[in-house]
Amino acid sequence: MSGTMLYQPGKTFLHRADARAKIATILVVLVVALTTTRIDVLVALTAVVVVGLALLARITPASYAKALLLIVPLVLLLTLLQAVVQGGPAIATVAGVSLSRSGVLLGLGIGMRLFAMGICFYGFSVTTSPSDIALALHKVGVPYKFAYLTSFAFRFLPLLQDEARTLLTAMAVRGSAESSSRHPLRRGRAIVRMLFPMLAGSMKRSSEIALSMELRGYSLPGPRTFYRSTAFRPGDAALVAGVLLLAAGLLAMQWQLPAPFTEGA
Amino acid sequence: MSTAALAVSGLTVRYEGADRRALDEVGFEVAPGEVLGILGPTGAGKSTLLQCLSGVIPRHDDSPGMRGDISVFGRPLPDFAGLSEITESVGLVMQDPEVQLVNTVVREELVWGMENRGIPVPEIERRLRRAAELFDIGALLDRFTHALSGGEKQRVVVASVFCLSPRIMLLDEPTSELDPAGTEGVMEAIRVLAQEGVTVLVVEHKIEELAVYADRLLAMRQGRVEAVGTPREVLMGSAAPDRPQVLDIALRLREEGLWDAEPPLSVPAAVTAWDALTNAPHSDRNPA
Repeated sequence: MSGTMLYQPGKTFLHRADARAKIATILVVLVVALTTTRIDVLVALTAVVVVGLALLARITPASYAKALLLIVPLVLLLTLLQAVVQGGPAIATVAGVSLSRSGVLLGLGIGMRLFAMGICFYGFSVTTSPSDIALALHKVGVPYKFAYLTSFAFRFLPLLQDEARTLLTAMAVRGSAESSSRHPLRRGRAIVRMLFPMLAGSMKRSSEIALSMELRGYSLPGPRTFYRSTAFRPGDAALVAGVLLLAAGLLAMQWQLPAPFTEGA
Repeated sequence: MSTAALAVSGLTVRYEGADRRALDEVGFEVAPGEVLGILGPTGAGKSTLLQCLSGVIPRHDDSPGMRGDISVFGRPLPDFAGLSEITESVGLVMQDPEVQLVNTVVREELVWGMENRGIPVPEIERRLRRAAELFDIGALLDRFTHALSGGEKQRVVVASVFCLSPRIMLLDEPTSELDPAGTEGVMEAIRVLAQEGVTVLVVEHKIEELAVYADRLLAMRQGRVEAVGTPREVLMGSAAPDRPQVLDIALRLREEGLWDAEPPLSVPAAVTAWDALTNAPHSDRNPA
């Protein structure tokens, strides 16, 4: 696959699991992540997600190392921002600016939350075929035409990547040093320059794609058949039950254990 | 007289802001099961013609103005409820395969149109096997569509329209990204489709292949039909936009008095004719 967030076929437990069970798992992770700002609970949740992905889908941190390069600076930036704007006792003073202890904890908490949710989505997208996502959404009541659009989006992600690569190459062969620069700012300028032709190309392409879909009966009103089928097996139920138990444990940890930091976020 | 698969008369199209008509009083008929090759230089109106025949013009957004009559097996095109209903009879394969592959995996791509039409699963499986065999894509079924080569994409797109079992197939340069072997594969598939009663209209620049596989040719220039007839009639006439090289050579030899036989339209036909002239089968002369 040409993109890091795209489906990669495999035979692991998560690959074989029903997409509905995986969607339920994501929802549970979201609920836990969004109902707490306690740093210890969020660290435990992140650890559970990281270990779970490694055991059930053989997705190790090395698989999403590139994403970490983006997330870690973001977390640091958030933490710094919160440390500056939040009040309370200072953890340190740098160049006359007090860094709030509660702000640091809050920033780390938000970053941890983003990280846990992000890798959870990553695990879902690389282990679930786009058509399985569409089928699962349809099975839970989403009209097929809307459910299909999710799988359609995954189809066109690599297409956009290829188009961007072609445009950058076209700029490079015509002497643009920016398009092949490793400097993030110069590279950023090349990307901005590329956006307009990419947008124009996408608009034209979208009209042709819509026509192509119509020619193959996408807008037909009658009942459709489904070549593939999905089944919610005992293993899927076990996955959901296991995730619910872990979530209950994490929530109990939040309510039963004292916060490790007195001014915890 | 049996009803024509396609009957076109007075078809005229003008794009907004264009200085001339894209199609100008075009008229012709195609019999059921016939293969009609459409020739012409860029801008001759070939793709616009296919879009009119499939109902894309004038039913799709941003369509140009159109007048004239088109009927499919005797039924006027405006009587069809919509583009989706037209496509049950007429299948269109457009030029760019990339925008026609709307699913991630080849197998899903082939079955998607059939699912949309509510075709029962056993029939979907039967058509899938048939398409895989006919277009030689069995090994591609579980591949990602975005990872295919240009030629593979083209074969998958043609196969996905074939799976819908239209009575008429319109192919816009279906071999433009194919190598000679791939081109011959698609052309052979067209021959099989015609044998099964499917009417095929194919826009193609590879004239030698068309000369072999088409029952008739239609030559266009600047939106007008310049000639319609058998490949020999059209390619040897003055309206031919281009000729197979082998035919050009034979005509030059005939002018020099070196070729008496009927000029061949393809290399295999030229070899057969040469063998006849020299009274020696080509294989017998092989020095090996």
